[in-house]
Order: sequence, then structure tokens, then C-alpha cells
Amino acid sequence: MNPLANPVRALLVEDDLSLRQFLATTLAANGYEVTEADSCAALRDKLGAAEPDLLLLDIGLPDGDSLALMDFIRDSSDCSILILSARDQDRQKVEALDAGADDYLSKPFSTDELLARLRALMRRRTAPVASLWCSGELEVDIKRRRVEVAGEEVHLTPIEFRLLVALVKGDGSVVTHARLMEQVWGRHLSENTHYLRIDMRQLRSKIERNPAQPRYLRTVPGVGYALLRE
Amino acid sequence: MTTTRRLSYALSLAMIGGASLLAWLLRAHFELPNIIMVYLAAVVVVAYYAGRGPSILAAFLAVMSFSFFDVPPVFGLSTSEGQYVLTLVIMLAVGLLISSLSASLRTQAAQALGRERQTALLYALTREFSARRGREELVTVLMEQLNSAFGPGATVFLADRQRRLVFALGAEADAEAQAARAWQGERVSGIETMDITGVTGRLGMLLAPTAWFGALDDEGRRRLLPAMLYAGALALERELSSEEVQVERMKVESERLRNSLLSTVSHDLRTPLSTILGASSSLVADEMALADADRRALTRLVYDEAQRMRKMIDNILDMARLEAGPVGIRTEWQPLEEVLGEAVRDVTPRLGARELVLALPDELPWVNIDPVLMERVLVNLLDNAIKHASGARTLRITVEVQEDRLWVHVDDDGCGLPQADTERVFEKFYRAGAADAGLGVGLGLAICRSIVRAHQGDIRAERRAAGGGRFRFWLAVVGAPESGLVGGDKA
Repeated sequence: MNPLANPVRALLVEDDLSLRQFLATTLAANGYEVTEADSCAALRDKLGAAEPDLLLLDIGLPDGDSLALMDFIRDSSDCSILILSARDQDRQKVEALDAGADDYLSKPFSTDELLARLRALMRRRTAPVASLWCSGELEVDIKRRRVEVAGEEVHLTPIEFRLLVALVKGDGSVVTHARLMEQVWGRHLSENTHYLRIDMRQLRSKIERNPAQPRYLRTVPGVGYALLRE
Repeated sequence: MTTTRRLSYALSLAMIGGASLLAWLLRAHFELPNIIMVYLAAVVVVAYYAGRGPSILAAFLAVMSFSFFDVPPVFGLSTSEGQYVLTLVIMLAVGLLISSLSASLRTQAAQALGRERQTALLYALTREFSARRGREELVTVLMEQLNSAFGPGATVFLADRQRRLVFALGAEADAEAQAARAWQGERVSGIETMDITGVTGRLGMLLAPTAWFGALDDEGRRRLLPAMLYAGALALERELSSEEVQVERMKVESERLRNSLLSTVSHDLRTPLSTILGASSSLVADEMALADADRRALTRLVYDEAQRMRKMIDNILDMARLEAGPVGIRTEWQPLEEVLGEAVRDVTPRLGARELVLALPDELPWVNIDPVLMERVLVNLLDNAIKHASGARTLRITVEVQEDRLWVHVDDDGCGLPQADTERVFEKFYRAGAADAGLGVGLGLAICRSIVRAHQGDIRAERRAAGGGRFRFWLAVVGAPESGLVGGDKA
């Protein structure tokens, strides 16, 4: 972290006392300016004043539905949202991502993972995705609509290219099925991810040397896909 | 007078007429006492076939005819011979005897036939009952038989657990209120009821309009209907007790599982927990006194043991959730390589020096799976091979399609499973040998099986002929949506 820059403001919303203390301590020790909230009501109170860059939001808050909160948060702030979810809250996690959260982390997580995710979110905030995106041997030039793997050009259909761009914009974070379908087809094709999966398969076979063990195009089961940064 | 009776009397006349004719013809060759036998025979025939009245008529006619036609003076009546009064009396007696004997024979025959019919009905009823299961089916069978034996119009009510009468099946669904009153012993006008009672007491009630009961014949009302209701009651009681046995059995099973779980949790979670407490208490108490390396070692220990605990708890919770039923499964058609790739990625850090080989067909078919759960299956199978197949250097995943099934094999070239364990290895909390105690709670494979079965597939464990172990599971691939290029999107 650059000590000269303004400290990153984080708003931490978690109802469990021990976990909240642990997170607050860890974040502060890593240079973040932390505001704590323990409930939906507290979040509503403190969001305006805290003006956070990052919001860490526990899904299972006791006094309300985090999903309904998403609308409120998006209306009041442009912070990046990291969802903290428990192991069997898959559906709520995906709903939160669809509703505007940027990434998620499953409890229990390690400090490393947490800090890495937060850094990734900050990177996306401060440096929007360049027109040229590289990772390992994969090069995606959005402006010139050109994709190269190990120096050789790969020909993608318009749909496949749009799909790849949507994943590039995720910059390593998972992009949900719904979000991908919206960005590629312009609308939500109900719950049926069938066409999306077909196109992902095509994309994988064109970009990956070994589609069964993909290096870049990662599947997040039950949630969506992510483009890995090496 | 009915046609039958008219016919009977006509028969009487005809027979006596015929006898007279015959007697007249025989007069020349036989003596009188022998000729009277012809008339007697006629009376017997009439008595047998025509009944009492006609046989009395026949007896009188016979004597008169005999007296008139055969006894001198021929064509004249003479009662001077008082002995022919004796003949008349005897003939009357014989006629009456034969006719009442034959009448009673006929009645008995009819009764026997009726009883046979009833027995056949009851037999059919009990056979149906023994073949069917479930209260609804049993009541339906009872109703069908009642309708075919006595005609439609009856309604069956059954008592629920709170001893309240509830409509089961029949014509009068709205009669519950009246039925309830009759159940308590009240007389309700317009309807009649009959209790359905079994060995354990009153199970319910049959209700029908008074006319329906009135239409039953005596035999039906007294014997057949109660017998059918009793058979029905027995079948229902049998059903009830089998349900109870099931419930008991499930309770016993879940009790056993719960105890198993409690002892596992108690023992297996305490072990890493005591390490964590021990190490962290040293860190808390003696922090200053510890050397750097020691402190790092203890901290590392806390972290590792906490990871172990987390895995165990995850497994236990997963198993509990799967036990509750496949409610949470959300399946979607997708290419298998998506979850396969993720499982491989998950396991790779734990492979160590081992090699993982994938042998896949060119086109992996689509499967209808819950991706999160299926990834668990693959990860558990791979982890199982890593942990337990001692000496394994290569792990191999093979996928092949045979007819309508997709088979996934996870092979290792380690020591392999003992043959006796290939089934038991999937049981909950099963661990092969005490040496495994530190390696987890024993649920990994049980979870695999639960998940695979919830996908309508199954899983097996084998020893490989070439040495080593194999776990293979299959999923159905029938009905996959078209997986070719769709939507005219071509490069």
C-alpha cells in the first residue's frame, strides 16, 4: 500500500463481534481506515458519513435482507462491495452479485485471501480496465477487437468476443451467469444458462490449450465464470 | 297367481292326466293295487317339481281319477270302499312329505349357493386388501366391493388420530356432521350406520340412506356386510401398524445416527481442538519466553488444526443437509469439463509428488447436475485417493459414455481397497482401520454416494485387476439438450 496516498476507507458490516473485531484489527493493521457497523440499521446510518471506497458486507445480517440493502447502497454510494457469505448461502451470494456486488468471499477465509480480494477491488476502482488486457499468454485488445494466445490470433464470433470482454471487465472477479447474459445478449434469458454455456465452451476450446484444465477461463460452480489473472 | 305357480298347478293336472291315461292302458294287464303305483309316481313327481300346493291337488286328483276310471264301477264314483280313503291319505302324506323335502332341499341349495357367493366375495375382498397398500387404496377397494355387492349409495368415514370422524370415500361427502352425531350414538333420521370395527376397536363408520339398508336381503345385512366391514377394518389396522413400524424403525435409525454423530463430534473434533488450545495457550502465556522458531511452529499448528476442524464440520453439515433430502439440489445441463476443471484445480495443491492424468473423450457430453455438489464428489474422490491409497503415484480420471450413462472413474495405483470393504466404505463414519483416525470424520465417501444417488446415479468401489483402487460413478445422459452450435452464431 502506498503510504502517501489517502488511506482507503472501508466500511465493515458484520454482526458477529469476534469476527468483526478480527477483521477491523486486520484491516487497520494493513493501512485501511475502518468504520464498523453491526446491522442493516447501522449500515444505513453510517454509509453517508463514512463515504467508503470499500464495503465488506456480511450476507446473514439479523435485522434485514442484505439484498434489499444492495439497492440502497448502490443509490447512495459508488463503493466496491465485497460480500462475506457462509458456506451454504450459495443462492443469496449469487443474488447479491447480480444485484450489484462486486465480489464475494466465503467464510471462513484467510487474511491473505481477504487482502488480495480487497486489493483487486481497489485496483479496479483506481485503474479502470485498460483497453489491452494481458495475462500469461493471453492478450485481449478490446479496441481493436483482437485476441491473441501465445502470439497467434484467435478468431472469435461476435458473441464470443462480447463474452470475453465481459469477463475481462471482471478483472479476475467472478461474473455471474446473469450478468454475463445481460452483457452479451442485452437481456436476461430467464434462468436458462444453456446458450451461455455453449458459447463458453466454444470460447474455452478456442483459447485454452487444454479445455478440461483451463488456465484462464475459470468456472465458479453455481455462480458464473471468471478470467484469471496470472 | 304368478306364472310359476300357474305352471306348477298345470303340471299337476298334466301329470295326473298322464297317469290316468297310462293306468287306463294298463288296466287290462295289471291288478288294481299295482295300477295305483302309477298314480303314486305321478304324485311324487309333482311333489318334487311343483311344490306343496300342487302336490295336494295331485293327490286328490289321483285318488278321484283312480276311483273314477279304474275302480269298478268304471266311470263312476263309489265311496263304499273305505279302503280307498286309506289310499288317499297315504297319497296325501307321501305328496306332502316329498314336496316339503324337495322344498327344503331347494332352500338349502339356494342357501349354500348364496353362502358360496358371499364367500367368493369376501375372498376377493381380502385378496384385494392383501395386495394393496395405503389407506386410500384400501378404502377404494372396500367401496368397490360394497357397491358391486349391494349397490351404490354408501359412504365410508374413518376416524383420524384425534378420534374425529373424517370423510373417506363415497356418495355423501357432506354428511360429516350427521356422521359425527351418529358416531356419538345419536339416531339420525333418514340414514343408518354400521360401525367399522377391528381388533383394536372402532375405526370408522359406514353410512347410507335407510333405503339402502332396506334393500339388503336378510343374509346380506346379517352376515355379508358385517364380514366385509370387518375385513376392511383388519386391512386398515394392518396398514396402520405397518406405518407405525416404519416410523419406529426410522426413529431407531436416526437415533443410531445421532449417537454415532455425537460420539464422532465429541472425539474427532476435540482432538484438533485440544491441539489448538494447547498451542495457543502457550502463545498467550509464554510469548516472550518462546524462541521465534517455536512461536512460528505453534502458530502454524493452530492454523493447520483449525483447517482440519473446518473440514470435519463442513463434512458433517453437508451430510446432515443431504440426509434431509434432495431438496436443495439445483440441477442444470452443463458440460462436465466445467466442474471437472474446478475439481482438479482444487486438488492440485494436495497432489504432492503424485501425477494426475485425465483421460477424456473428445466431446464431453452434457450432464444434468448441481455443479457445486458434483464438484464435491470429484474433490472427495480425489482427496480420498490422496489420503488413503498409500503408495499411489498416479491418479487417473477417466470419463466414458456407454449407451445412456456417463461413467467417471477415479483410479489410483496404490494399495487398493480390501475386497470386503468395497460396499462398507460408503457407510457413514466408516474408516478403514484405526490408523485412519486422524484423517477426517469418515463422511467423504458417504457424501459422494448421497450426492450421486440424488442425481439418480450410483457409485461403486473396486479393486483394479492391475492393482490399485477404483471408484466409479455414473450419471444418466438421456435427454441432453442440443449442444451444437445454436442461434446461427458462426465464426
